[in-house]
Amino acid sequence: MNKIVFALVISLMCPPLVFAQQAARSQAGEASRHAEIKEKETSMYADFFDKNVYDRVAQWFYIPRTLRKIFGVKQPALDVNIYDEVPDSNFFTNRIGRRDMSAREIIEGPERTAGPDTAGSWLITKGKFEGISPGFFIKDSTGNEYLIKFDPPGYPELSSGAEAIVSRIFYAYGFNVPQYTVCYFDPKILTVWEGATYYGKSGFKKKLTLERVIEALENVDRTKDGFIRCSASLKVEGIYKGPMSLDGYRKEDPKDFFRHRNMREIRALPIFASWVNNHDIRKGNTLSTWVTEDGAGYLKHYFIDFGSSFGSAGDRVKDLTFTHEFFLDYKSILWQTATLGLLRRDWDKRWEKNEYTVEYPSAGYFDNLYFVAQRWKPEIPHYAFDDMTHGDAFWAAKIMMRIRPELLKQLMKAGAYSAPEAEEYLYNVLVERQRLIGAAWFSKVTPLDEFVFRPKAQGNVHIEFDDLELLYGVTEETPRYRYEITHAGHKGKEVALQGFKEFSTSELHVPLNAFRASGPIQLRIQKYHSKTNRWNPPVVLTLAYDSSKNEFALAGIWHKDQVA
Amino acid sequence: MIESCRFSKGTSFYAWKRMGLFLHSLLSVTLFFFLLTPADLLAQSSQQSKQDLIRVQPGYDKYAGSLKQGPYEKEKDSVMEQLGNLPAVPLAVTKAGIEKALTYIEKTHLDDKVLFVWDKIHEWGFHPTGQQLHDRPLFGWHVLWDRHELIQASPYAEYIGFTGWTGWNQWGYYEDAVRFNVDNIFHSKIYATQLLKYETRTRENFFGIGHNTSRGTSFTYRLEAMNYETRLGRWFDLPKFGHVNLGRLNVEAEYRFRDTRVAGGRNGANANIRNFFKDNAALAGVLGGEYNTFGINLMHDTRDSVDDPHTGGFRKFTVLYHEGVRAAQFDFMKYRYEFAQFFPVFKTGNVLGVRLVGENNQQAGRNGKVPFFEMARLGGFQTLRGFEYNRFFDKNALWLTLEYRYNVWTFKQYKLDLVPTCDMGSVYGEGGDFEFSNTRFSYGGAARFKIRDRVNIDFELAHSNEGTEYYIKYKAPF
Repeated sequence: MNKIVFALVISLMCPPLVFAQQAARSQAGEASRHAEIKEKETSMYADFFDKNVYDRVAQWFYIPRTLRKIFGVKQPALDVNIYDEVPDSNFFTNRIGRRDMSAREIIEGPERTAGPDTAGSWLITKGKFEGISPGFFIKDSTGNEYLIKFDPPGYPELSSGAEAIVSRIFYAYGFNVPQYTVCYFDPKILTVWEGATYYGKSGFKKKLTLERVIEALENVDRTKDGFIRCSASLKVEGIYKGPMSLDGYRKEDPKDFFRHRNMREIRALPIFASWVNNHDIRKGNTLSTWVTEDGAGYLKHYFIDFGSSFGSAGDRVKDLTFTHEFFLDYKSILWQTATLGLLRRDWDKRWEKNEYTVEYPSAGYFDNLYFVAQRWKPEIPHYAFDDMTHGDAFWAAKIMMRIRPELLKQLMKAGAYSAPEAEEYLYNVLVERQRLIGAAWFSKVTPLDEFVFRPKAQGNVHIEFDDLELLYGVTEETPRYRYEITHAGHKGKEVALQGFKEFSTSELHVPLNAFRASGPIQLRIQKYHSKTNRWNPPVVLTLAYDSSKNEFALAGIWHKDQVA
Repeated sequence: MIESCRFSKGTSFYAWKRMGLFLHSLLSVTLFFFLLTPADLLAQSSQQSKQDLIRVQPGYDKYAGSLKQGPYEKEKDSVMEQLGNLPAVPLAVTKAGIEKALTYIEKTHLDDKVLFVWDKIHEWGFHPTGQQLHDRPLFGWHVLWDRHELIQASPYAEYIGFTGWTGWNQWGYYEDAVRFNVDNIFHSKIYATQLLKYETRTRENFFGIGHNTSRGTSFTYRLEAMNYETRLGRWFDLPKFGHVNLGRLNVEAEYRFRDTRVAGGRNGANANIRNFFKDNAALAGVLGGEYNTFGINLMHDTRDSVDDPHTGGFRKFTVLYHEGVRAAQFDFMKYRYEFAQFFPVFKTGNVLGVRLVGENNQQAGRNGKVPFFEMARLGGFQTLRGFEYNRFFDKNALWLTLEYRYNVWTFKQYKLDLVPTCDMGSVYGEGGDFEFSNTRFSYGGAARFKIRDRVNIDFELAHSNEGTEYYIKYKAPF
């Protein structure tokens, strides 16, 4: 055995030495490869048309997809490893899912600067006056470039606070996000670059002047001392390559292996987004840049623009239907049509219960009335979200639950809310919603995780695990578990080697001595769900016998969607 | 070929890289086998066969890069999957074009530009609108140019408006009008309106008089008219008692002069009215004529919103005396009453709308006659949907409209309402002639797209025992 290892090491080491010089040249080639990656374009209109109109109709013309839909079959995500986790990639880096993070670490996570320098002057390089709230691209005295956005008139801190907090939460989840900072500036520091332009409401490009900037800022709320609050997002590193599809992949990117609709972190976006109520998840709010690290270039994929989180819709308070219905929600339309509109919709009842008012302008329209985790909807649907399995949802929910209330409390400070009661309100809604989401998705699978696997003598194993429902207190019931042992029989069909055995602790001692010769075996653990009065789909542990060590080893974990 | 050319010129690093990787692999494999004895190889292969179902030796790095589905490879569809997706290919081609167009529109701010120009046109006082002028078969688009200049005239009046418009369609309809109105004169809630209008309608229907006329016996005529109209009115805001709003009452006096000419119409399918009815004795009004009208209008309105009422209603009562000028013997009285009420359905936001309209024309004096074009008419969008436009003529008419309006889609300020409808009504000769058995029924449905609670497009289908009619309008019938 040692000889094999030695042979491997030697054989792998020598060629790199031989080709070291050539490798250096290849790296230079990598850096220039970005030219092959085309810059993509999209627009809000195209997003709406593509996902909410075209895809909803066209999906029935993709026969395999239609058949899967009819028979309720969902394909598992492709970028999931043997332990049912998503390995790090250009899309996603396991952060809080993998280890504990401090609030400071999360807050500073995406930060590369402390925000725009408000002591020096800001040079506006481009204006953005479409929509209700204006925005500018600026270069501060340190030379850093930012996009400055403002809160909607009458709702100070609404979108800027949400953006600062939610971008960091997404960072903690594991996504790449730009740096968003809340800052206050004196409008006197603004200067305008002579080549600056903007598209006005007329749609024609115009030269930007300081007078026009001041005029645009007249609608923006100010502090008592005349300062203006804004959300400053730092320009991301790398060469801009346009948005990232939430459906397909880039053929020309060799590291983009899977169609994005088949990637777990994309499929599970609604779970992540439902907690923070970010309804605006779409292609237009993503970004890919070509970055070079250690001489190697690659596409880095970002999620951007979190201003439509909490009770904000970016340039206004969330509309009543948001998060309850898609932009065009055909099911709801059909249901309403069939019932002659006699059944009131949740968003309608919710608005009535809120007495037709928004309590805190800085929190916007955000509460947990009529919130049902499985029914939460982003503004536009995507195939990826349709294809999400319970296993994908469980994975996302467990990462989300890792941001515990005490950590969240500290993260709320990133929003720099001036009213403590508004911050407290948001915090309470988030804590409650997190629990609701956890409870909803944990109940769909056997919610066991963090398996500690201890091989014992005679081929027996000792397994410990966390029951996430108990760990996060979403249920207080005494758990009931059961396990069975199976292996792949004729034509891969699962054959039971040992029938079900019930247990109720988070430790399990399994005598496997008799199954050493059976090849890889599966330990299928199920949890009893009292509300549905049935056993949940199992979490399957694949165990392989290592004859050299005379013990079983853990070779795979899979939270299944279905009992079979 | 391209690759080799690039390699020979020394411009591509990829070729070098591939060559390097190839040599790397070759050397690795050679060294690997060189350093191992056959016994080692045998031991290795036997271990592999035992555990060939396990992709990775069980070590427990939870975030390892070993994927369940196999090695990292570009995802590809199977042949079966590709074949199954073929039906969607034509759609995908269309989609690509639309997507590009939409992206171009947004990127170049074309939508903003169009809206800007549109707003400018409105700012200049022009309000072009399109509508279906008549019901089928007189389908066509009406283009209205409405110039409205608002003159702030406080303290003399709330506003003084001057409106002029021209309407036409390809089916021979033409309309020209000017209107002058002053509202809230001296802030006394008094208003006045003057209207001068010329109109030509070349495809008006006439199926004879009475409730049981045959649809097959149809005539067409051309109506040309010059109207002058003046109104003077005052509104009264009635008090509120708790939740009970007594609404607003309008009292209005009006005077009209109308000069009409009737000639053969242009609808080729129908007979020319003048070939069958030679003079006024055969059909009153067939030669046209001039007449004055004096009248009083009362309207009581308790609706919560004029554009999108959910509660309340309105009641209109009109009495008009028509007096023929010169040879015309159009001396008659017209009474018209219209009651509409809107009932909210529980707390759903849905509305049940009921409208009852009656019209009564009575000849005045010994020789007074009611010209056929001033008779009560039923059929069409405003009266009895599902029947042809102006399908029934007679001196009197009574009709009832029921609408159940409910919302099926809301997004921001946009809404789509669906409306099952039911109309019933009858024309009759004299007051005592009305019989329920003569009543005509129709039913149908409407889809109303609203922006800011105002109907912008109303698409309706209605079915009766005479067929199905469709309507495209920009407002609800009531």
